[in-house]
Amino acid sequence: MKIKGFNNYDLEGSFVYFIFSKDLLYIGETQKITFSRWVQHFYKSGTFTKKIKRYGDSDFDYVSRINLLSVELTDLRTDFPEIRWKTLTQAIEHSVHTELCKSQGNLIKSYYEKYEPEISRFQLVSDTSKTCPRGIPQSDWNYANAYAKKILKEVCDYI
Amino acid sequence: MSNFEVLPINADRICEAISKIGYKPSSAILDIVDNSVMANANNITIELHIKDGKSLNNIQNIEKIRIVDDGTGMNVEEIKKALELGSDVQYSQNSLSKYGLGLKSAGFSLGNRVEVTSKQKDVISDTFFLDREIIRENNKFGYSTTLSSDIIQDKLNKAETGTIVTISDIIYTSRVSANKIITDIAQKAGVSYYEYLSKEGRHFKVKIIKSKEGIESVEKERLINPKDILFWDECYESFKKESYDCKKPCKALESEFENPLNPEGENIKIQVAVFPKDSMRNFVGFDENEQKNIKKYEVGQKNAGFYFYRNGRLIKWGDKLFIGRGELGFRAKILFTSEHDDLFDVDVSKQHLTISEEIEKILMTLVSVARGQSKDVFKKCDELLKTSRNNGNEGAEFNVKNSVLEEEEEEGVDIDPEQVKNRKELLESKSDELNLEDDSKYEDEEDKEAFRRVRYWEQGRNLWESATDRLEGTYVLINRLHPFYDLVLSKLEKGSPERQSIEALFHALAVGENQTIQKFQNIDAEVAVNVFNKFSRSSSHQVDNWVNNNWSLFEDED
Repeated sequence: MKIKGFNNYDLEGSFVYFIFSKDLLYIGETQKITFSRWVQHFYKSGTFTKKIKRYGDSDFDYVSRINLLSVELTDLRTDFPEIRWKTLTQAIEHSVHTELCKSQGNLIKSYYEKYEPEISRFQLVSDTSKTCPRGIPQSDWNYANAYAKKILKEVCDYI
Repeated sequence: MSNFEVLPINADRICEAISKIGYKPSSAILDIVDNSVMANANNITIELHIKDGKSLNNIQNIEKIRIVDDGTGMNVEEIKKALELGSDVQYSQNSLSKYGLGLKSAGFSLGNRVEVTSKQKDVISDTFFLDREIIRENNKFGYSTTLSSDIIQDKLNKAETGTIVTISDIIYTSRVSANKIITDIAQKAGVSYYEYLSKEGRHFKVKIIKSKEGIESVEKERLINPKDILFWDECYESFKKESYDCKKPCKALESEFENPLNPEGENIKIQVAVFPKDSMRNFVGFDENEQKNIKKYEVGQKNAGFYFYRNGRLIKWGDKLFIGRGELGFRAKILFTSEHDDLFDVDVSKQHLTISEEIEKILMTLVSVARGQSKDVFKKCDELLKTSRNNGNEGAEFNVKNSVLEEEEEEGVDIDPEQVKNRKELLESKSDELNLEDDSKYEDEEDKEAFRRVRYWEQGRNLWESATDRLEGTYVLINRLHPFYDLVLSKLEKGSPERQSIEALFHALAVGENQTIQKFQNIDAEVAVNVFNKFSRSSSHQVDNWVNNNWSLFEDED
């Protein structure tokens, strides 16, 4: 038996998470999942609420139709020393964004066909322009790009 | 039952309208050249005929403009079709044409008369022409014909097939000269037709011609060579920060993305290269050829940005979109086809397009890393330029300036000097464990004697560590591995007032730490050391968090 979630402790680890709601998709990263952090996204001034205001349909209640999914980057924590975890997680988060900018096809065929069949194209509303790491070596980007591809494949397989 | 009624059209006003869609003379000429490219011509020549008695640089010195090609040519029916407004021609796949207006609108923007003569199957056609004055008189849009002249026949007889378009009764909307146009075309055309000109056997020339008593003489001639604005074949395969030598551009991205309007259709391609600073062309450490190369790249505001190619032909030169003024070394090619016309909304003149918010967001995400690399390339150039001016070690200026800096604080009343001594020894022994190597270099021999209160190192996770020298006192170790160094410190010139001010803060923190451990004797020395260890870890981590949220802080810096 394995207890997997409890709202009174933090899940330590490097995570990339997906917030799905109708046609909006928000992707973020964290080094610690807390339930309070999830909830913060949906506060009035929370990041996801702001994105709904900007990109969403004002007549639709997005918060009532949310699916959350997080991916723990366990390999990252063994492949790199602790000082690099945050930066590499941000790099992977950015690479996931670029992969989805190149093609939405696989996620449309997996998540959207299953949960939102009327959506043929989603809007990626999160933005990595401020958090995309600068100055990291190309080898790190190669690592992040490969990791991002793996994340998306496994997420699609999981769904 | 339809009650459709035909309304009159003022043919001349329509001609006037299509001539005013915003062509520059050189762009209008190149729009006509598009037809030669589509006709698979191997040889294209633009002739600018200057007026008798005018020099190359006199303004408004052009009498007529002629575009000569050896493409497939047209029969009479095809010539008539080409002269129709909104020609209903079945364009081949990935044609450069779009609305069937190019020849007429570009032609009329240049002059009041547009002539076409063509050769196919050894037959040279009459000259068909559109003349604004005749159109105005008849108030109907239509063509006239005349026998082709000897000069036209001679030119067409040099190839098996081909077409000549001549624009005369030139309209001047600006202070343009033949020399200005030839320069404009020479700068643009090699980039605009890079793909076409790269194929073997293709020749593209621009000539300025003078006529005297029916004899034409070439006054100036420029051969247009293909020019890849990204210099892709010369680029390093990727930007390697640690070994980049600032001599050549680097490939930063080669990818493709789906058409949001038709994800199943053809993808749009993107290539990005990042270039070294233009000022490297004067860098004394480079030899003459290397300097020449840098000059050739013409890195600057004019050439930075996005180059949009439709069917291999440039539509938009160096669109800045969202890139900032500190990104002059960033160049991207976006390659799309007719299939993506709705997405990019290309206008009639094929000089402009509109980027939707969605495409802009996609591009912004895709090029984000490349933009960072572009800034890093410039930073590398700056470092190299700075190094050549300033060979001192990091921290050297601070240390020389503060060789006699005091670090005593006000003494408290209940301090036991013996304990201070013991605690100092504890700190000294902990510093010994750091096992530092002295690799400092000072320009001035005397400066070697200065106590190094600020030292840079590459160990651990903390941004700084305090340490103690047995003889001189406290020094601080600033960690080059910490992201704060990368984001902030490395951007401030060594020895600059800003850098020294920050070094002073780090040094003060280290002094504060050592003084507290030695003199705050209410708590055990080991406890105090542990408290400061935790404090250093925690505050270094917080600065790390701050860096992670502020990567773009220095984005607009040159």
